[in-house]
Amino acid sequence: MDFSDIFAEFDQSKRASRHDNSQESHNDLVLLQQAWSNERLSPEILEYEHDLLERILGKLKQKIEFVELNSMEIQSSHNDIKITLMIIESEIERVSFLIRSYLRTRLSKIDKYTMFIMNSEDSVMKLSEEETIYMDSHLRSLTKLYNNLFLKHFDESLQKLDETGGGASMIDEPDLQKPVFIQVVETIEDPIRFGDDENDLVRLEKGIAAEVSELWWSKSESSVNLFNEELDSAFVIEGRGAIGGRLGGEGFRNELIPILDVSSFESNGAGVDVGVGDGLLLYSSDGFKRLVIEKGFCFLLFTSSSGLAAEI
Amino acid sequence: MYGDGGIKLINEAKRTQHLEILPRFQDEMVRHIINETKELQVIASETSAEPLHNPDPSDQQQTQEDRRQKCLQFISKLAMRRNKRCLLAYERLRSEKMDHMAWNNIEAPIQNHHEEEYLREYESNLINFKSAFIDLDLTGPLVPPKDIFIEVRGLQNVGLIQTEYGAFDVTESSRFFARSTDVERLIQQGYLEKI
Repeated sequence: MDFSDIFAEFDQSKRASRHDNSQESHNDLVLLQQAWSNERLSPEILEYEHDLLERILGKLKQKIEFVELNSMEIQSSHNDIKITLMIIESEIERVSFLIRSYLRTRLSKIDKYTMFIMNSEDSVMKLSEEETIYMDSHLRSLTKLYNNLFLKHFDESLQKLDETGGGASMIDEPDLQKPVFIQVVETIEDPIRFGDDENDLVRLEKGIAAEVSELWWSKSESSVNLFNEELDSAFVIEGRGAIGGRLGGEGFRNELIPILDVSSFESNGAGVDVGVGDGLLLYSSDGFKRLVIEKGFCFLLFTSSSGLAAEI
Repeated sequence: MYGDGGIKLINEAKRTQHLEILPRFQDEMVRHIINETKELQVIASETSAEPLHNPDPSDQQQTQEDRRQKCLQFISKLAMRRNKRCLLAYERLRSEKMDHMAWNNIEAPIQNHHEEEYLREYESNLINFKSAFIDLDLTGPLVPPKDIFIEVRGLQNVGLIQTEYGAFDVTESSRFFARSTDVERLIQQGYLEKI
């Protein structure tokens, strides 16, 4: 994923001076991936990454220009440039995809939760200028469409689009109870409380990947602050409904995430055996043994009545 | 019966969900529901306009009448709201279909002029948004890219296409190897097919 490194390699004369630059690009790329996966897997809209997007778009422009400039002279220049161009182009495609997917995920959330976002100042603050314009304009067109087609025939009391009474709210809200998986990037020294219970404390250590149930997103004050403050320290890696559903049941409600060290698992042919070894943290009591770990990768195991099932 | 129109419309919306193109706007059904709702509005306002009787526990008949009126008003208000929600759900789905058309450059005639207006407005809204990201094709595929070059086959006679890597003569059933970003639009428009 690191195209600056490759770039630096063919451009040997400038290699030394490029080193810092390349490191920075690499970081930005990692940040973009994080921003993208956070946005994709969070139920609510997150803050727009202004500076990051600006930097990345600037670099993308440079690379596109580089390709355009060099592909014109492709016949005259030596052959090496061809492969370099292809590598850079692949990378342009990949980065473009990340940005595209990031932006469109945000737009789809904006379309879905327009009323909710409009009614909450905090949410509006998270949008970029273009997104705010888009949202306002889209809502205006939609309201006009509804009015022209039928709403204008009704009494005023029946024309509202943001009623919440009568047992069915017209405002779609993001599901903050949705379970998400997180990976801890930096150790947080102070244990964090997930529930209302005093015992629901967990210390998030670097490298640990964990599944956090509803409480992470829930509106209880401590958790919301936690998420906002610690977003840089932990990021969402996966959100999976099926497993979340199983864990979200009565038994798991106020329990902590079972975390197992990767050293404690052995493969025994047909299935995977989850051994209880050193460094084990197991909080669940409902028969779930879960194992997650290793930097960048996440194995997820859970016991089922028929034996152990493994899911990657 | 009250509410039947709403159900019909919702069924129509359900059918629309899986269609490639936007079906005709159900003018008649919608008008029927609007008229029904208007009737209900009249009923609801008539019943609420009548003076409320003083609660007199000794007068059984009057209490009965009072309750009957309240029930009628309650039911008609519920039915009105339900109709409104059916209409909104129907149109919301259609607007999403139109958004999809705008994103994917699907050209299709839209008969209803209010809807046509909406589509035009949304398209200009999109163009406005996209203009902030000129180096990026926001309408591009939402699956991660694998190859920058793909093999394609011509489906129609288009003629010469200029790309940075040379020109292709696209004719029916001609095959060539091209950069995916260069031919993406042509595939979308149905001139080429990915092999």
